[in-house]
Amino acid sequence: MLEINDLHAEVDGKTILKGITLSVKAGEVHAVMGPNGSGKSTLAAVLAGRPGYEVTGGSVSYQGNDLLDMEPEERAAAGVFLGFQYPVEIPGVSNSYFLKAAVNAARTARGEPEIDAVSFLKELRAALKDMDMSDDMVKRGVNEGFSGGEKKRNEILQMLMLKPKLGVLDEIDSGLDIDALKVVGKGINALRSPERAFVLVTHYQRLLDHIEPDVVHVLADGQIIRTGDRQLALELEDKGYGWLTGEAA
Amino acid sequence: MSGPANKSVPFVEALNQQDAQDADALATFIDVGLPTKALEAWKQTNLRPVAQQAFALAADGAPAGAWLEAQDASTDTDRIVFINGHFSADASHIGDLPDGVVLAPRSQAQNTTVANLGQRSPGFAALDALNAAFAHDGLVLHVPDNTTLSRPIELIDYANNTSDQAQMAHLRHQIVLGRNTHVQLIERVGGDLASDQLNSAVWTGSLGDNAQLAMSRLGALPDDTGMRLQRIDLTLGRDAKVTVASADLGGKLVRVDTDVALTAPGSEAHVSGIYFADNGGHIDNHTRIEHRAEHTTSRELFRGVAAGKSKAVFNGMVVVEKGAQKTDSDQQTAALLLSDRAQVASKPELEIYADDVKCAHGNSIGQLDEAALFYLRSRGLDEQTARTVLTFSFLNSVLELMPDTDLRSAAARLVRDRMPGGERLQDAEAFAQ
Repeated sequence: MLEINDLHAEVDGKTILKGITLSVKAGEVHAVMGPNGSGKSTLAAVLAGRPGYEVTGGSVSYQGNDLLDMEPEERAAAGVFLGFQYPVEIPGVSNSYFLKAAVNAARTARGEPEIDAVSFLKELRAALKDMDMSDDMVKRGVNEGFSGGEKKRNEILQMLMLKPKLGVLDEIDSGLDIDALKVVGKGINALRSPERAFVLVTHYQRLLDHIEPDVVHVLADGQIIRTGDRQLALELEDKGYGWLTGEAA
Repeated sequence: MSGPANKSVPFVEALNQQDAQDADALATFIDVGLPTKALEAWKQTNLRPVAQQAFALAADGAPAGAWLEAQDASTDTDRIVFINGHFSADASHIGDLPDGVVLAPRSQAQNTTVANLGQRSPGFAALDALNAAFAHDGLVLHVPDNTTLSRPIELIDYANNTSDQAQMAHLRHQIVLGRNTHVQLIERVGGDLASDQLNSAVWTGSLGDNAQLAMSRLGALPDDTGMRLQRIDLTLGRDAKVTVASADLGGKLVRVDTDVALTAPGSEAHVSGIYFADNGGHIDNHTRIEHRAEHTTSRELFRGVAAGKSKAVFNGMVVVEKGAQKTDSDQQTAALLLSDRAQVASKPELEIYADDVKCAHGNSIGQLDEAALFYLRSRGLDEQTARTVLTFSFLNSVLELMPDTDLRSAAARLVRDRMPGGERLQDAEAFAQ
């Protein structure tokens, strides 16, 4: 589904990714872990098409297409969802309007008619319940005045509504208390299926207590230095990143 | 400051003394001339498009064109319509009113005089005289003490010019609200203009103790021909409260001065507005809030956008007079530049002569938030829609302060019409429920 090959990228002239190669198949959950500054978030940003990140080498292919050649909205239309580490507040645009516009953009891209109001509300209510969010939160401006945990739940709410093929979630667990982490984990697990894949970018192993990954990668200084199974994450938890990077954790 | 006055210009030279209602006012205007950019209040707005043309005073009897026809016959308002400065009985309808209420065109009202209040806004004095000289009609509204008008009063100021000559029309309105009165007022401004037309309007109003006035304004003149000079001058008594919410969404040259004097304790002014300048148009909002007594409150919120090669101006003067202790004033303005050829000049001004006051202000001019734009796009909205959504929401959050919900919806539709892909925001009413 996703083939990243020798990807190099820089920000403000500084090279951050120094040759990432990674292959994600449909149905798999990959965790990308690493210490601060290792390039995890840059990898997520490049996959999402965030402005300001320059790809200087390598390729990313998504379902056989050149992902890097696609605009952010084209990536969304093709079924890629980026969960933001810091979701943006947009006062004045209600969450429900935003969700409906996003759902309809996805449906239009798939050649489906726009969703009718009744079905939309039904899906929204179910997703809100899963995310333990109140109706009131969809009437408010997008992420307006939301706590850090509420913003993250709102990201997963959007993902539940959009049903992407590939979810790239950037530090979706940061700033979450244990209850919110469970809710977020539940939302992601609900979407797991043989057709879907996820890339979870995270600093902490604890997210993986709730979402069992198929593959774990450890990123350091812009390169994947180790790939393994869930056991690798547990070892990291035990020994710290210094165990692999050769520095004190 | 006396700049090089625009006295010997085609506009002034073409004025016809015979048309004047008030010879003294005309003499004053001719003596002072049109304001020039040398005057501080007109630094950002050049009246050259007015000065360099001869404008004939519009005659009575112009037809109701497409714009006027399209104004939904609002179900429950008392509607008073002026076409080119002349009262149109056909287009107006006024229902039963409480005892003692005067609601009539000035041409039909008895025993009313309209005060000359031009001196408070020095930048407008000449235009006030011009208006007084040529306005032979306008709205007269007198509401006696302890009276509530249950229906809004809707004034339509319609410009129609099918000729190839520039023409002008003027209206002078007067509102006198007694003690404990409640009034809702709507002003709709628009036109069908084949050639340039200059409309001026001066509102003078006084609110008695504990009176409440909620005024909603919507102006949408053609960007290639519509010119408008407007002043609203309101004086508030004890515990009186006024809300003026404006939407100026088009015009070749539009200047609106909103002046409120808070003359007694407890009086409050809530002044807000949005503007959308495009297609080479020019929209200028000036406000002047005078805190003349202690415990007075003002809230101002203006937001606007300038697109294409247009220019927008905001100037907000807040004066706190000596003795106006415990004044509580807040003014927030923000503008978006939608193109690199558009201009916005935005300036807060504070003059404070009391020492125990709270006066806050904020002013920003910028572009759409790139992070928000990316967020919307990453959720599948195409770039144009994302820009339109963000621009609309920027304005809509201020538009929501407009008291009249029908006018608010009409303004929202006009905002959408001015943006590429705006028609896709049909359910924009659901934006910020």
